[in-house]
Amino acid sequence: MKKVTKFLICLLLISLLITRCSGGDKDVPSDPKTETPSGTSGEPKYKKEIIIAIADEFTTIDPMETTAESNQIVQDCTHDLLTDTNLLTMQNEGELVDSWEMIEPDHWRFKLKENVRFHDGTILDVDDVIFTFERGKDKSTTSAYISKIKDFIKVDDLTFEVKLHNGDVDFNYVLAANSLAILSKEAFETMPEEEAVKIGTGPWKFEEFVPGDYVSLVRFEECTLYDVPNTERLVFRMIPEASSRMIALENGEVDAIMSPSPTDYNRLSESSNLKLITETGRGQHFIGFNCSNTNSIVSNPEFRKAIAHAINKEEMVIAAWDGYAQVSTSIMCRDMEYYADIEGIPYDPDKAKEMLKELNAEGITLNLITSDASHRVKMAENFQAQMARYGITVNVEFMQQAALIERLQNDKNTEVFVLSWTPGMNADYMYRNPIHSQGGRSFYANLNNSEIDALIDAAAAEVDTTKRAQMYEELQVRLTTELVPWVPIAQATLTMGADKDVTGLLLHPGLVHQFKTAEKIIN
Amino acid sequence: MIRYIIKRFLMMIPVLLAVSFVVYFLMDLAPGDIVGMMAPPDATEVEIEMMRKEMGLDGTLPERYFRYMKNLLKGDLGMSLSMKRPVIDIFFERFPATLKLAFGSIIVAMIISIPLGIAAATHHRSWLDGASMVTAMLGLSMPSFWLGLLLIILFSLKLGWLPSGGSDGFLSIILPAITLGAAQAGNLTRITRSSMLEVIRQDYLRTARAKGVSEKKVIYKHALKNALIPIITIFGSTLGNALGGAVAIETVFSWPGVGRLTVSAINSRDMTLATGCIIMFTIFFTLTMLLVDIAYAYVDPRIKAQYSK
Repeated sequence: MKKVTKFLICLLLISLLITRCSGGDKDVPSDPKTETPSGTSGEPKYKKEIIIAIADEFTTIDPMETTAESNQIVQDCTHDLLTDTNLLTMQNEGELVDSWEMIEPDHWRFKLKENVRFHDGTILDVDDVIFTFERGKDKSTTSAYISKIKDFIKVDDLTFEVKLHNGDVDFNYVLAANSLAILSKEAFETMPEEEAVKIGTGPWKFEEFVPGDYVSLVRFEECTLYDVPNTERLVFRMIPEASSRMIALENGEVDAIMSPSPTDYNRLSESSNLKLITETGRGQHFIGFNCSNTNSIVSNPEFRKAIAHAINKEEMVIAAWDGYAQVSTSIMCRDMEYYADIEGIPYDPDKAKEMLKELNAEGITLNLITSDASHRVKMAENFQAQMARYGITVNVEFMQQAALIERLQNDKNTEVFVLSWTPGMNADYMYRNPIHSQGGRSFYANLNNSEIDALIDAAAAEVDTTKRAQMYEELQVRLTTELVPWVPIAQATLTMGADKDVTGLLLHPGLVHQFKTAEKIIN
Repeated sequence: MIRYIIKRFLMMIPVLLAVSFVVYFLMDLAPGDIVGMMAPPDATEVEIEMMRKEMGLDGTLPERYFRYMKNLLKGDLGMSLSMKRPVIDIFFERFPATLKLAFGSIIVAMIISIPLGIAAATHHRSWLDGASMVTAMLGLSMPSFWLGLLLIILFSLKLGWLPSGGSDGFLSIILPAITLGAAQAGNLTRITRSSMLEVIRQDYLRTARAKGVSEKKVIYKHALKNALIPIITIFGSTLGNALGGAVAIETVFSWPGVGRLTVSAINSRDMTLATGCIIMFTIFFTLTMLLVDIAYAYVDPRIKAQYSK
């Protein structure tokens, strides 16, 4: 008995020791309910710490290591880009760059802002930009952008010119890629790389990262590029489960949550203490066709047009997003430059039936593939139900995202797929990868149309903005109403839940949401 | 005894080889290409091939497997494809949290199951026995994901006593440990009960009673001593399961453990991280079982004598 008792006592002691050792001395986020005013008498008082619950894991502060949004959201607080999208005006503006000039489409001049201080105290100059671009040459996240540059010319400490291999009238947008955040050359010369990557020019400085748990930032008191934040500490807590994030928000353990569950939207918007923040996302959700599959009727543009007439998009939006999405009439995303408000192909079931009859397409079977993301599953199921009304049987196959992408890239017999496309801000990005036959790896619709390819190339090279707008409108109309490689369904609404008094939370249509000015005034 | 321990260590080698082989090949068979997922949309084929080479994913499957095993023998589990850091570092950053949760849940399970199992056995076929078994069945059959959410709603949201998630401090382990411990307690209660029932029918206890020893002393001094021995064996596998089977609980309670990391690695096709985590789990599981066997020999002189021969 004594030996058994000793064994159990030892076990209990070991357990308690482990519990105390691994939990006791860690510098964890302080109790968010303990609000320490930071202002002086008469001035507004701010909550000391803002905690944001994110769904996916943060893994690195190095902007060049991954393109995952969960990393970029944090990196956006600590590092800056040469140019970036202003989320209030939705325009591409200078962030570290004060001004720029396109001398020729393949020759650009940039002038950096003066007296921009890095977290290590050094001042930004052209050498830091050159260093960043040199470092990014061999990195998979940046090499595609940097390989566009033929020559990099330092004019003075704050001015540089770049010469490109090929003309690009949208080169300023290239510099807005998050992985091209500018790093401090001196930091890399004086610190180990893992420390140097933490040094940026943003209003927040990296403080601590506990893998799988949280990453914390502290305000940069000597920041010259932005006003010093009113909040002292910004913490991103990783809470993968949507219902757990919601409970943490309701319980006051966090101040804002990313991606709340659609079932909680009403609770958030009707709550007296919480709010639902919404913004139309840039992701275009669509039903796509493999236009080159000549063994299938989907290669016929008339059939694709008939399907476009047959789909009730409003119904699909309710089924997939509980109505939290904006129906699309064009293949192009709404908030992009050169978007033209076209009518597209309207829902017309009678016309659809007539066209399908002419094509002898009644009673056929289509095979659809998509990923297991819940909105895609619902879109696919709704499409299946809608097509049944026209006598078309749709076999649906769900798979993981990685498997779906591999299948779309390699399987020539694909017929229909449900997917989304989230482009950058510039119009060329919208078309080049998914539509241009030489554009990239997202060419799943296999349109292979030389006229469209030429139009995309011509629009990208056109300097005259009026002519360019006409070209992009022509592209929009032809792709949406004539060639129909996709039937655009909707742009889903992005959402965030937050304490009603928290401000400075900006949803980014491209998913890199901004928290630089997150704060909460307390009484 | 030492020879036995060495023998057990050597037996770990084929187990680890088999696990690494199965995991590596299964991960490779799963559809989806991590390089395709990680490359920017406008990356060219040449850039993708460059990335593939950088990540060590070039060459045929056997070539890659042998390269992996060669490094593994040197103690190098490789670099995570998605996090670009050594797998061993990532694993040990997260392992303390998993270990903490596993031990926490074992404590909860023991606190619930041992008294309940004894009560059920000593009051055999009474209402107490029935109630104990119903409680054990409830613990076993309740989905831990659901139980976790219920506990969060009650203790965090309604009562505000405990945090709903995270791993900051002692209070944050209580709810995940209870959730994980509940299922283990169900199993352990049933084993304690059956083990006690077997022991209390033994002749030596009848003799003790005949000699006038009090019932309390008979149960707690004589019966429990022998009944607890099988529980120690079960403890090993329970701890092993707790190490690897806490994925749902780690997700609900945002617990930064290895289970969540492994699932996330599998979903993102991070082959080296997933394989590395599973190999490390296997090592810890087999080590735990070995320790349990040694402990078993320590508490049971008959086993020790058998090893000594």
